[in-house]
Amino acid sequence: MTDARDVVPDDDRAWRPPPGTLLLSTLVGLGCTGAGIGLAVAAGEIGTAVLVIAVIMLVLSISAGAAYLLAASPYRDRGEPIPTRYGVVQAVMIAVALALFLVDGYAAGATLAGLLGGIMLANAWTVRGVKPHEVTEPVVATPEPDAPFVPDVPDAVPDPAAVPTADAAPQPVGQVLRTVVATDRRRWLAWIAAAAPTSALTLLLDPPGAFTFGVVAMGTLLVLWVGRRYWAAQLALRDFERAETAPRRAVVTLVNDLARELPRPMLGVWLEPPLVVGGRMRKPDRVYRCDDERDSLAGSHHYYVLHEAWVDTDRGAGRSRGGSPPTPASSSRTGVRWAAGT
Amino acid sequence: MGQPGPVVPLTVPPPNPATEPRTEVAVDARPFALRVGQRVAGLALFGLVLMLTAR
Repeated sequence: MTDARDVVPDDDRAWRPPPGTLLLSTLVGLGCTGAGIGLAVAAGEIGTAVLVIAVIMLVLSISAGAAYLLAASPYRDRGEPIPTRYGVVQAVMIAVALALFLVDGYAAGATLAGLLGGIMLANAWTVRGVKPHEVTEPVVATPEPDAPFVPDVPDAVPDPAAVPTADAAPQPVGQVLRTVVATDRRRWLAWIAAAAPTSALTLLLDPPGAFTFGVVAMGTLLVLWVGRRYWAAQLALRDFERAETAPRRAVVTLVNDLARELPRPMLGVWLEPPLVVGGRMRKPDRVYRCDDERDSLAGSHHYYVLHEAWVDTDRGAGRSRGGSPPTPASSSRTGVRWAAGT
Repeated sequence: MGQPGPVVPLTVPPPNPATEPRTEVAVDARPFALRVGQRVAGLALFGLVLMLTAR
């Protein structure tokens, strides 16, 4: 007899925190910062003026990188888009670094290294002391209008307006899958239309080898990567339309990832309603990483909203979708799975 | 023994491709040429950075 818990394919790698996130961020941050200092010192061999420019740019880039991550994190925690102004600061720093290549390569390298160093050190700061993906007591989806929910967690008081609520009109699963297929097809064709002529022109004009390698290799890689997403979405739609396996009831939650560098939310699936013991729930039975473009139900690690949902049970291509409306959720293997409800 | 957490119950039947309404798919309205242009610029910029770095 088949164990019902095995019907939904397992793929919980996304829920587990990346091992050594704090250590890795710290080491990379210190390494980049150290490299930036070394490059700035090397720039001093050109002249004092270049040394001053390199040091100022290094300090500015470390500050900009750290400020960007620290300022953007609260928005990501609440599942809100990161304001454009934060991205503009980063883009300006990168543009300045590229322009510095015209003055001195060491100074430009110091700026880029400082930017990355600042981001990684700030990332280490944000994950310090946090226990990633610890499941706290869930809350109901829609708070009473006169008594907005405020969770009893000392360092987590989200804006009641940010507590996710169920959408009024869930989209049909097939409609969501067809939209994903159409969107991915458009992206894939755009990459082919961009990479093919650019690569051909580059090979024809024969610029320095590094430029040729960058354009051809990156273009090919992106065409293959986006094509893989398109292929997976097509398989998901095909399997859904064939309806060879019946969906099953489960309890799901959609939350943002604690790892700041991973913008895609996660769908946790409990095959049976989880019990709350001591204000904690056990880890979900299945976890999938979701499409970040459909996160209307995404909460944060401070509050979990549980939904009963229909979940895909097809083992075929290893795919998943979740939420209400159905939210595309790719497994970290090859494809897409769906869940729908409420 | 703990208590079950609050769960928003299901209010819809299981998805059925045979009975679902089929409506028009809406995709990103940005012009295709703009998308291609952005990607060409991105590739060229990446190549330029590699070239300058390797110089």
